[in-house]
Amino acid sequence: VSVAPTPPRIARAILRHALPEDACDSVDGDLHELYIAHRMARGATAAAIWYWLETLSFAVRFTIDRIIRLMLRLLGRDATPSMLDVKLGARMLAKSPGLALIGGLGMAVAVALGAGGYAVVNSYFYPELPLPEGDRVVAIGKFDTQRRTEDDRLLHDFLVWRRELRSVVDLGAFRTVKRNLVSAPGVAEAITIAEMTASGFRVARVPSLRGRALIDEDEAPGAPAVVVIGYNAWQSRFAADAAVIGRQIRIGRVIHTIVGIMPEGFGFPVNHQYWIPLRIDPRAPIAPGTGPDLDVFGRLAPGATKQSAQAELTVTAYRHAAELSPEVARLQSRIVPYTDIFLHGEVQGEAETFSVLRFMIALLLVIVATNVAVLVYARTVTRGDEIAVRTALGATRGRIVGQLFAEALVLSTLSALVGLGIVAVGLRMFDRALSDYFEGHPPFWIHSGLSLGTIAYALGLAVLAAVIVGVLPALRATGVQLRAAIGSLGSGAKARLGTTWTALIIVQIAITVAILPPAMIKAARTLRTALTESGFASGQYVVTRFEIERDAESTTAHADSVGADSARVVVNALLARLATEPGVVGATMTADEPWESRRALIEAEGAHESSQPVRVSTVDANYFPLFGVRVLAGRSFWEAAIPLGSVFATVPSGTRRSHGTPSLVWSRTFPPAPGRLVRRARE
Amino acid sequence: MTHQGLGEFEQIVLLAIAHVRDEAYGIPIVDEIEQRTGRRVARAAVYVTLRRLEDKGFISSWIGEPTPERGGKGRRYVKLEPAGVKALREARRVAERMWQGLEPASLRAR
Repeated sequence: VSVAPTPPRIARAILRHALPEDACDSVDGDLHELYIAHRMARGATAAAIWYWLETLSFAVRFTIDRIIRLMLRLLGRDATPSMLDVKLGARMLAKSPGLALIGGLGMAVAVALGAGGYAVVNSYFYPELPLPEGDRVVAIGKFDTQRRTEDDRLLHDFLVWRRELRSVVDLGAFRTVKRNLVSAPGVAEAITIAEMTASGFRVARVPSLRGRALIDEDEAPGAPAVVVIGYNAWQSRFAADAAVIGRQIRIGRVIHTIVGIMPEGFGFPVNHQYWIPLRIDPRAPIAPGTGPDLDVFGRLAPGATKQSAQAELTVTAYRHAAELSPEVARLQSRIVPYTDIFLHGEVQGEAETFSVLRFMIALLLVIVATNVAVLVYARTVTRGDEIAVRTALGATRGRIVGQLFAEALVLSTLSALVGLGIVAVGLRMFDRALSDYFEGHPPFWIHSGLSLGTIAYALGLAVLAAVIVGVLPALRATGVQLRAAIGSLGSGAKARLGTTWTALIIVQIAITVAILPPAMIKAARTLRTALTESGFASGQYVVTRFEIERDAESTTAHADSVGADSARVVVNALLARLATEPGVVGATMTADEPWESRRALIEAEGAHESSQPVRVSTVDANYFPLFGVRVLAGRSFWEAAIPLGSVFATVPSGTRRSHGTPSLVWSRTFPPAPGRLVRRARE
Repeated sequence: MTHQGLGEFEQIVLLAIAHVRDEAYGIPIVDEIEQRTGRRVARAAVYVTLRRLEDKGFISSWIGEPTPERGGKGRRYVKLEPAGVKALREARRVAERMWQGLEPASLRAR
C-alpha cells in the first residue's frame, strides 16, 4: 500500500495561515500539484526545499498585500492629513486651551516616562558593544541557579576553557585592581587597572594609538613589567606627551614601562585606562573554585553561534564534572552576551524585570492616552453637528478621520517634544548618577544620551497616542452615530457619551484607583528610608578604602594567603598610626562597607531550624566600641582572637532590639574556627 | 469607476490569461509567462496580481472540481472580463501611439 506524498506539513500550515481565505484553497491546491510533480522529477528533498521557498515567498507577498489593502481600507485615499488639517488642528487646540494643557501635559509626562525608560533600559540593559562585531563578543561565567548567585573564582575553568573550547577564540580573562601610581617620591594617586590577558586586545580589535598593546609574551613570569595607558590618562596624567612610550612609571611597588597608548573612547574590558598583563603561573596547580575572582571573555569563532558555543561549553563541563567537588560541579557554565556579565542579569532576573517595566511604561502611555481620548471624544461629540454637515456636503469618513487624527497629532507631537525635553534633563541626571556610581568612569558601552533611537521612539509614541486620542474617537463619531446626527441636525438634540466611553472612563478610574494606593505606599516607604537617620552620629565619622598589593605576581591561592599576611601587618601599622593622629578618637577596619555587606545563608550547629539569610561583615575588635554599640548578650570580640577572615553575622534587624541603642543588633560571636565558619557561611 | 491603469506586470498576466484561454489557472498562467518572456517570475507575485485584477473587475474566477492530486482542492480558473479586454486594448493603443513615428535613430542612447 503506498501513501500519496504530501507537502511538508509545517510549511503547508504556514502557507494556509498566511493566505487570505479566498485564495487559500486554490493556491494550496496548485502548490500541492506542483509539489507532486517536483517530487517525481527531482526527489523528496528537493521538492520539500522548493515547497518551503515557495511558502515563504507566498507568505511574504500576501502579507504585504494584506497590509496595503488594510491601510487603503482604513484610511482611504483622501485620509492622509494635509498641512491645512495641521493648521486646523492647531486652531482647535487654541480654542480648547484647558484640554490642550491638561491632555498635552499628561501625554508629555507619559511620553517622557516611555522614552526615558526606553533610553535607560536600552543603554544600560540592552547595550550594543561599540566594538567591531561587538555582538560576537561573549562572556563565560559559572552560575548557581538555585541560589541565583555567580561564582567568579574561574581561574581553573579559564585554563580548561582556553585549552579546549573551539567555538570561542581569543579567550581571555581580567580582574580589576587598584594601585597607587607613584609619580614622585611621596606623591601617589590611586588608579584602577585592568590586569588582563593580552587576548583582550585581540578580542576588542582596536589597534593602539601609539606604541603597542599587550602581547602574549608580556604574560610570561619574569617578563619585564609593562603597562598600556588609555587616551584620557595620557592626556590628563602625562600631558599628552608624545615621548611617553618607553617611560618608566611606578605602579604600586613595581616599576612598569609604558609600551602603548590606546585611542580615545577605548575602555575595554569595562572603563579602564591602565592595562597590565594578567600573569598566571603555569607551574602552580589551581584547584577548581579557588583563586582570585576573574571575568572571562572571548569572541565567537567564525561560523559559531552562541547556541553552538554553549553546547560545546556544556559538553566540556560534563567531561570535567568528575574532577570537581559536588559544590563546584553544581554550578552551570554559561555563555552570555559580554555586557550581561556585568549586569548579573542572568542570575538576578534583572533583564526580565526591566522587560516587564518597559511594558508597564508603555501601558502607562496607553492609559494616559485613553484618558485624553475620553476628553477628546467628549469634545468630538459636541462637534457632531459639524461632522454631520461635512458628511452631508460630501466629505468621506476617511477625510474626517484624517482631520481629527491631524488635530490629535499636533497635540501629541507637541507633548512628545516637551516629553523629550524632560527626558534630556532626566538623562543628564541619570548620567551624573551613573558616573558617581562608577566613580567617574561608567562602562564604555553605556551612552544614555538622547539618541536618534530615543527620539524616533518618542515620535512613535506620539503617533500611537494620536491614534488613540484622534482616530478612535473619530471612528466612533463617524460610525453609526453619524446617521443619527445627520437625522437630528438642527433639532437641538443633546449629544451623549454612550456606553463604550462610559465603560472606558470606569475602567481607567478603576486602574487609577488600583495603582494609586500601592504607588503612594511605595513613595512613602522611599521617603521614610530617605529621611531616616543613620542611628549614629554619621557626621563625626570619615571612611576611606584601601587595598593591599600582593607581593607575588602569580594568581595562586598561596599568593593571596601571603597577601593576607602582609595585609595584617600593614593594617595594624595603619590603625596604630591613625590612633596617634590629632582629632582622631578611634579607628576600625572592615573588609567591606557594612551597608553593602555580603548576603549569606547560615545555620547554627545542632539547630533544627532551616538556614537563615543574614548579612555578613568582617570587622575588627574596635568596630562596636567605635560606634558606641552595646553588645546585648555575651561579649564583644577580643582583639587577639580575631584573625583576618573571621566571619560574624547579624541577625535580621528587628528580631531583637533594645530601646535606646542603635538599631544595629549583633548576634553572638562564633567560637574560634574561622575557616570552617567561612565555609558554612558560603553554603 | 475611477481610472485604473494597467501596470506592466498586470498587462503580462492579462495577456497570459488570453493566451491560455479556457484552461487558465495559476500554474499554466505562470508557465505561459515564463515561456513567452523567457524569464522566471515569482509565482506568488502572479497570484497576488490575479487577485488584484479580479478586484478591479478585469477578470473573474470560479472554482473547479476538487482532485486527489491537488490534495482535494479545486483549481481556481480565471477568464478575461470585458473591462480587462478594454484595458488591454487601451494599453496597447497608448503604447502604439507612443511608438508611432519613432525612428531607430531616436532610440540611440545619448
